[in-house]
Amino acid sequence: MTVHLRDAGETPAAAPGHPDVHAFHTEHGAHLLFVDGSRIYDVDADLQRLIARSLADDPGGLLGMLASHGLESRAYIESTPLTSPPLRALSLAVSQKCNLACSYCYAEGGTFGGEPRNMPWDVAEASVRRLIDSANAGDRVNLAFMGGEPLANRPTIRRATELAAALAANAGVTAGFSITTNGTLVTPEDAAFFEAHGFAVTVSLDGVGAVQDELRPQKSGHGSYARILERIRPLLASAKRMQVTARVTVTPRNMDLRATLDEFIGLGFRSVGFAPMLASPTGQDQLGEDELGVLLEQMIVCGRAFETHAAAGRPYPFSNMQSALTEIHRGTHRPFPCGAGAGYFGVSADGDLAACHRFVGDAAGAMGSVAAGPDRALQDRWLTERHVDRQEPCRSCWARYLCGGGCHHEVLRRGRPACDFIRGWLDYCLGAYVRLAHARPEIFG
Amino acid sequence: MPTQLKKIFPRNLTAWAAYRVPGNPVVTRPEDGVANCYPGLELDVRNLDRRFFPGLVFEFVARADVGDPYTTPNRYGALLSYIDVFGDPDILGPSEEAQALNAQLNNIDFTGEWYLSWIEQKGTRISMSWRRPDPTAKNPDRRQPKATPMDGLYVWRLIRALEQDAVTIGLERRDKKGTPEVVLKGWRRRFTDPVTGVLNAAYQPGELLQSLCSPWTHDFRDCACHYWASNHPDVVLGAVLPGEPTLPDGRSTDPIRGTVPLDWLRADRRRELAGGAANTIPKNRPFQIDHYQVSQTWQQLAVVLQDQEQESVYTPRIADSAAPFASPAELVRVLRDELAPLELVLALEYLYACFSVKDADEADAKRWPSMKDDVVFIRHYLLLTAQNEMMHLRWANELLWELYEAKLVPGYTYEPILVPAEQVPAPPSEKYSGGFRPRRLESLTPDIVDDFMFIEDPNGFIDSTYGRVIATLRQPAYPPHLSELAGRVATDGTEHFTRFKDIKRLLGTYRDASPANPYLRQVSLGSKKEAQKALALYESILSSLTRGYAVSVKGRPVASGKPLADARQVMLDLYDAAEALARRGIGIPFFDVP
Repeated sequence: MTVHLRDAGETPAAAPGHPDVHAFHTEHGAHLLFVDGSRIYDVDADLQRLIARSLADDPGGLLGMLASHGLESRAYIESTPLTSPPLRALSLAVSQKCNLACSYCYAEGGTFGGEPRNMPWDVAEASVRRLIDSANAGDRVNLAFMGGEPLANRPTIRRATELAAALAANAGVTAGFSITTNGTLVTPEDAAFFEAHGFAVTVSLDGVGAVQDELRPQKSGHGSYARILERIRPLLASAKRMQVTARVTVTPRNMDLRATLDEFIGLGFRSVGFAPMLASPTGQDQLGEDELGVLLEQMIVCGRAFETHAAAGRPYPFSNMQSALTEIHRGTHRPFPCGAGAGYFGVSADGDLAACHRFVGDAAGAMGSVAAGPDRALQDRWLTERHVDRQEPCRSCWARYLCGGGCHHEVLRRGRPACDFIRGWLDYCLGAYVRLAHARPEIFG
Repeated sequence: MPTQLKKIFPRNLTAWAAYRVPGNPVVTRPEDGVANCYPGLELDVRNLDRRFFPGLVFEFVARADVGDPYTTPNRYGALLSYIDVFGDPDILGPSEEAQALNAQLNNIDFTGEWYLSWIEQKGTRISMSWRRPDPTAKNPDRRQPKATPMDGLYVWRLIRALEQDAVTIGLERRDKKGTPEVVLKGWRRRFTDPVTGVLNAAYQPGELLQSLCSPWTHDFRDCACHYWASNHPDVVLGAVLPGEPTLPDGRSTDPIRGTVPLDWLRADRRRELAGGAANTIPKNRPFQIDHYQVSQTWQQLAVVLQDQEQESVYTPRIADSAAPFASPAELVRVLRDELAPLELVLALEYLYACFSVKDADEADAKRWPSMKDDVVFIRHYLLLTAQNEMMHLRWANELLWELYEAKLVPGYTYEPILVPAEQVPAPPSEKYSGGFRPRRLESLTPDIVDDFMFIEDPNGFIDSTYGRVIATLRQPAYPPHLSELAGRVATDGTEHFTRFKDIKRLLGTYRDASPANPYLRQVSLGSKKEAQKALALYESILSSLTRGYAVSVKGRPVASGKPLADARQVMLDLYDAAEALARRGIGIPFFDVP
């Protein structure tokens, strides 16, 4: 299947393009994304021609030309990095062990390359107290449980949640909870507990039936799909306050995205999202250049399905698309891909702070300890070095403030193999945004 | 050549928030408002709360005045005036809450007069009825035995205090007692987007402005610049008709209509009868539309953009697409070595020319009946223009110290620039082929006026160089307010050109006079000794300005006030000294003339 993103002869969307603007087209005409501020404008044919000419002959004069038409560039993003932002989220590696043996696992079987172990209660307690203490009344904080497979240490999850809820209520802080699980250990009691605390539950599922069995087998070698389905039925059935979503890690072995998406939506997940496998510790099952091209086509197939459903007023919870459209509509612009190392840290079973859940046990993302608090010098250096304006080739890429420079963990492990994919996807989403803004403006109310 | 306006539509929220409608000044944005709450001058805040609950639109029914008696309490409160199930984006979204509320609203029969009877948030319920103080009781705290509905303004105040969170409300039907209460679960609308500040799309264009001061036209008629910060124009230039010849700044070339301000509120709007506005409000008042007229005819008042009434489709004037300078270093070089010295030399050339013109008491009014008025006008405008150039000199310095503080040019350290240029732009001629002539100090002959017009021509060297300065400063690397500072210099340039054009027209009266130029004093360039005292004053001004600018760059704007005020004071002394010398035929040698 081929997806034609552009008319022949034009600059491909996947190219880094002009650092300050990105021109794109839909059936509604020509549009312009101002990179800083992520501002989107419709422009008429005359201005479109001037832009095209300027891009080809005088890229340096483009901003001046646009300014003379009332489209002035403004500096939204400062090159000065954040300094010591307040702590707003922690993820606890409550269990550094797992019962699955996924080929590509960044945590290397859940242990992050160390001994399998659970987080002791004093570490969890200190984490919860530090999180709530650092917030003021009215603030929102989030406590996440990760692993390994976090449900292998259920008692700590429960105790930490209850403690956080009580401390937060007392402090006037709103605490949100989330867990990422492989789904194999979920019980009906877990479902009731998650529902009571309004958890965001993410189930990692890579495909239907044999596909999942092959990519995410149990350590015993048996498949996991049938067991997981049985386990998560009560979870899906009782979800009201809680949100149960499926997260699909895309490898070269599970690239039929549309079928997976429809199957999981049919199962009753609140949303379904895809994340490409870009850097596995062994190199196994990570996506290559050609496969990223196929992934882009597949994502756009799902995106088109989303557009069709949305235009007809039907929900179609394809989360990559939902979040992209929300961010594009708001004009989100950010110099970092996520809050890692800023307001968010991962906590290892031993109580060390890491830039995020993926950097547990990795010196590259070390950030101090729960007991002593974030190491501000390490954090400030991280925020300075990871600012997207200091990254190459990000500095000159039009997508940098929508993308933020890519997952720190993947970038430090493997570099940036997926830039063309990201630009292609964002270019598609920009067009879809314009189309939906015409077809169903109330979506963005 | 200015480029044509292109059609541009801001699509997403950051683009909306950043978009400035061509022709609208910055003060039309809500954040610039005077911000009185209600009835309001920019918006009536009550209109936000009318839609506090998704899908419903209320009207706050209140007594005419809070001191009035509660004559018809059953009418007061938040009256449900409209169910917006089709246009309210909050209940058209895909979320379960939105869909549930939408379905519920579609299934309720809201015939009759429904009022808000209570609101509940986070476990606290507040009734919209209360036991009012008993006016007959001696004890002021004593309440009436029975609760009655609150005044709509009180209800509004309670709704205003809701947090942006889940809300449950009760609705009662007052015109048919016994109708079951309706309970709705929803949320307090998020009025503006938390990231961009853009208004919720439920609000229709104009909705926030309805119910402004009532009738708003009365208040509007009186809100002129003498009275309130949010005002309408008072004096304006008349509209330019399509096809009418204009100056580069858009004004009519007709000297009367291009320069004589009209009263914006004039009742007689016939173009041929438009007389100039008088100089005080009481003098204009009898000729203005009155309160009883403004309610009927407000729409005949002209839209005014850039001081000018608009009668046809407005096309914004757009800055020339000037080429930015290649680097911050080049920008600094041009400001430091060309523009700032030029501003000073022009201030001095204009000042010299100003004192070469007779004052009113020296005019030969018998032979030239208009000369008194002419020389007053000419001297006034020359002095004003010279003052403007001094202001530009300061702004050029300010641009330089801001660029220095922004550390955009490695190795550049700001030093105050207070040395006049040696070369001034001039029309190409056999004598001056390079576009520049040596600086000079001359009396105001018609040739010198031509020379000044050339310098200030909107397409000339100074304005086009400032155009490039603006284009450079608009780039994101520069502090954002600097381009506006440079823009002010460019705007003044057009004004100067027009003034010199007016002066030139006045001098036409004396074209064939003999002896020539009877409006001039017989002034010639004095020696340094003759002008010793005046030159000392001039040097003192320069040294005060040097101190003031140097302190400003060290981040101490307050400390710069004293030396700058000193400089201004000495400028008045210099005026007197220059005038005394000129009456004796001596012009001040501000600089060496080749």
